[in-house]
Amino acid sequence: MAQEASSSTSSKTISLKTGDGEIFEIEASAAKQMKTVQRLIDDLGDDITIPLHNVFSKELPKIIEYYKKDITGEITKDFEAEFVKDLNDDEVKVLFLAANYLDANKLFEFLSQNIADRLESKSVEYVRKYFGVENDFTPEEESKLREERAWSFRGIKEDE
Amino acid sequence: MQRRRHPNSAIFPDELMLEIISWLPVKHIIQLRCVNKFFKTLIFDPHFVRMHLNKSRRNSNLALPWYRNLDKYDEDYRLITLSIPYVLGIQTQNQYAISDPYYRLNDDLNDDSIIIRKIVGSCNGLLCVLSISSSDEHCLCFWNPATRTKSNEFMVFDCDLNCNMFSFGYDNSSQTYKVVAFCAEESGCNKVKVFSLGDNSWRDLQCFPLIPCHDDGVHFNGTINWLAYHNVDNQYVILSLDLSTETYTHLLLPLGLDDVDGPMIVLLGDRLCFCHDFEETHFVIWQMKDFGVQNSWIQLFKVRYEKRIGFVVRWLPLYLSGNGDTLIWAEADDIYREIFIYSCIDIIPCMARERGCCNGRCC
Repeated sequence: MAQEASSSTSSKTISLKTGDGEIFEIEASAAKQMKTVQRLIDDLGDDITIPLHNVFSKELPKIIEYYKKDITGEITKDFEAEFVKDLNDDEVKVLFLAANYLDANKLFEFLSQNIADRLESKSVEYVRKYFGVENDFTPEEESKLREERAWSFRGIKEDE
Repeated sequence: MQRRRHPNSAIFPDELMLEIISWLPVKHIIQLRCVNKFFKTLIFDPHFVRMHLNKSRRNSNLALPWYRNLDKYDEDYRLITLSIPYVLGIQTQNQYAISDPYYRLNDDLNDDSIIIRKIVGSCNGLLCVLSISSSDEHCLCFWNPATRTKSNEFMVFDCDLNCNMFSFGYDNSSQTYKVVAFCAEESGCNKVKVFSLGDNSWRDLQCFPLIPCHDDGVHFNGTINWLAYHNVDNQYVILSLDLSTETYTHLLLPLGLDDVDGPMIVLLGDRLCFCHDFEETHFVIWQMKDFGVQNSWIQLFKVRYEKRIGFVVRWLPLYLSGNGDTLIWAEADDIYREIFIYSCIDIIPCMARERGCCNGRCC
């Protein structure tokens, strides 16, 4: 399981425990990319299983998969496209929030762009639902706003 | 106020929503103003605007003046903007670009209230446009194609002579947009004036130590730059005006350049570039990697072209991609007044033909 990498100082693996009690292993070099994990390692030592209360067994493997590719320098546009291809909007959202919690910059940035791509040409109602925000306009205020900017509303596709 | 949670969604902290929204094109952000009051004020929040600007630097557009009527060359430009991916997608010759009506300066093509003479410059997506008012005077206005907002028109100062040398830039230190105008007076003395958006008035500046060769100053990182000929040293130099200190310096061109034809400077790939013709067979582009450092000039491209007898070829490089593999340039044909837009992807040229004028900008 541990790979021999000639340029790394050690091929140590770190144990991560998700919020729902499952344990996953990652390379120490991948753990470095997740600043939250690295901070925990610095505090608790690298022999202990690192607890991640806000990340669950559904998303952690996917994150590990991403960073496995990252440490070998193999992240390409094709890989990234494939990575998110079968995920629905809610799954990407969960992954994005996890990447934020883990302070995993590269994945965070990639997923925020991907979500933006998905939201482009989605309706205002969909965006509200997606972010869980409430409409605090009166119906009159809202219709006035829509009218003012009518030209920006051309080209919305049907909500899925 | 408690945000009511939709059963299937996680709560999104504001900062994370902004991270995502700031990737969206302006057109969509404007639609999202209807989401709620927080979103409504987003586009005016300076922190968000800066966030968005940093991300959108990756998405460039070309702003082109577009002749409405090919028979009347000197009048009547409309302004269109085309995104770079769109331009690169034009694969076949003789395909005319249809611009997205969203980006047109005038919705109504019969609207004669604004007659654009020239795009003076672009900066952070804002265009500065020189137009002629109904009373036949030159005025400047600022147009943001993404938000479709246009400023009031500002009268050019009272100079009834050749006042068509304007340049547009952004002063980082005072965070103001500035327009620099050069006026050659009949009496032989020259004037340089600067207009700050915000002050709304023209001020005198120290005059140019050297006279620029071309109208268009190139804005780069808080400086405006012109190509000038140094009579004493007998060579071209770049005259650079620092917009915050409002002082001039000279920048040297690549070492060892002999007589160059058709020299010009442009901004490509976020760096100042120097272009010239080589023996009427090639078009050469140099890039100054480090601003002001003569040793940092590198030769980016040497593009071969077929010279057509009797024709003067006028080139204008417009855009260079971040990784340097795509160059878009316009070539103006004197007879037909059409421009060709070429792009080299992996050095394979493909052509698209645009009806327009060789005065485009990348914004």
